[in-house]
Amino acid sequence: MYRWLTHTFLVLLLILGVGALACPVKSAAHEHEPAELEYKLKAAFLFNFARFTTWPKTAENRAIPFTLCVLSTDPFGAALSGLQERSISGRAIKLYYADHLPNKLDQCQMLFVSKSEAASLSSILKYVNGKPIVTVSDIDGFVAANGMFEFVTTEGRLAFIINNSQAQAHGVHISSSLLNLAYKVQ
Amino acid sequence: MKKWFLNLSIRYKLYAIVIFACLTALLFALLFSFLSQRYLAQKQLVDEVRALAQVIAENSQAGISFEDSNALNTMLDSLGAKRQVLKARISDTSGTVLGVYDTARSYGREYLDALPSVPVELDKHRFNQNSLEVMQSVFLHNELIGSVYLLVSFTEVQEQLLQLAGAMTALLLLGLLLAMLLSNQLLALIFEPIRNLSQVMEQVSQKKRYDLRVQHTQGDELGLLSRVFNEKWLLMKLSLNHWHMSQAGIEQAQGELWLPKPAVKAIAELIKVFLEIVRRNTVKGAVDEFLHITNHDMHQRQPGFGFLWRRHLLEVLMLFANSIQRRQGVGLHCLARP
Repeated sequence: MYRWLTHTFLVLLLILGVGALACPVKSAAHEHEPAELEYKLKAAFLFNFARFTTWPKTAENRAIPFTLCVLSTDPFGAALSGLQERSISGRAIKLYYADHLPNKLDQCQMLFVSKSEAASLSSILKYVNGKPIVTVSDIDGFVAANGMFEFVTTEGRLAFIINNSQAQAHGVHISSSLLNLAYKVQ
Repeated sequence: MKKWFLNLSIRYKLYAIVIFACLTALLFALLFSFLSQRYLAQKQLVDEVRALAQVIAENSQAGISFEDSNALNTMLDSLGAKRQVLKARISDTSGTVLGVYDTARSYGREYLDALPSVPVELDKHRFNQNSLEVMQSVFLHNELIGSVYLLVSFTEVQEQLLQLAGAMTALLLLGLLLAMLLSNQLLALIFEPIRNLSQVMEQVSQKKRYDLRVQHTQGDELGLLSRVFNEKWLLMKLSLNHWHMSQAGIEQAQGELWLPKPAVKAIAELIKVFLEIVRRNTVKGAVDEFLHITNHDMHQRQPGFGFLWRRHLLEVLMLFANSIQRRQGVGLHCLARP
């Protein structure tokens, strides 16, 4: 009887142990997957923003590749690298990762500002002010701080806010089709 | 049918010809008009639907790029204003349907035939029995990103064409009625002289009213026919008076012939010569001798009295001689020797 109880106790311990080990692994995978999917989607959005945006003629030189810059920490991972195989208005896409300002940011047509730069947002936007650079970020209040595109999540769906007056001030034209899809236009 | 037509009076023949000609011309004109209207209506519908598909395609570029079904569905909902659009679909290049419009109305559905299972090619349209399908490609920066499909009912156009066909049939009937009324009035201009001529001929042949003349006021073929008829009877009358040797009758008949006096005199002389020969000889002998005399003699005596008149006179004289022969029931040989 005693042996039988000991046996059962050990089996239960084993099951609980395996369960305890397995659960954190599973939940970590779950946490990781939505973030990856989210940035995959954001990468696609960046590409489509570029397709529905027209830059001033000075910045539309077809011989020069379209430069998409990511400032500070890269949250996209491999999601952005797929874009290099595609083109925008016949221009090849070049990715440029910058750690800090100014670091050759003048060559960018589109600049994605990572969440990690939330503290220095005003200085970044001050730097690009007046330049034909489309700024995109998922930092809360990015558009309010004179950014152009801000990612937001509404009703479980990824959406975006556009600061069209800021785009116009930079000499950038955003297609009305894109404006129609925006969650909010300022 | 042909026999029936040939047995009709000239009045009804002319009437039938006019109506048949009008009916044929109107039918041809209306049929041509209807077919051209049908073609134009179809072409207009295709143009309209293709233009609509292009507008939708232009406006769905962003929706397709961002795979925004809500935006695409909202845009397609505006098709509710177009009664004839039954279905619309926006798909990406992989065939995934991103936006759908399917009218809840039953309008036009009862006429919809079973649609072919083969999809319409890109940028092409296809007519089914009662519907039109259009497939429009969606391009963004020269890159194919999706397609717009529209299914449009043809019922409204068919109803309009039916109304048009009804109006054209009414027009055809009205045109025929007008043609009947007008031809009835206008054909009297042709028919009255013919009737007049035939009535006089009937009176002359049945009641022996040789004093009757056909009134002729027209200068056309009927006028000529009436004049010839009158002349023949005057020549007959002249011949008869010569035969009976009635000098008063001869003078009266000569007075009625509206020819120059020398011509009338020459005619009277020729009749006299002919009848004298008939009295002595047969008709054939008289004809030969008449021709012989006139060949040598007539042209010198009366140059204006030409070949046609000689033939005309000879016909009348032969008719007269044969008439005398039939009436008396004896040979002309006997007649020639009273």
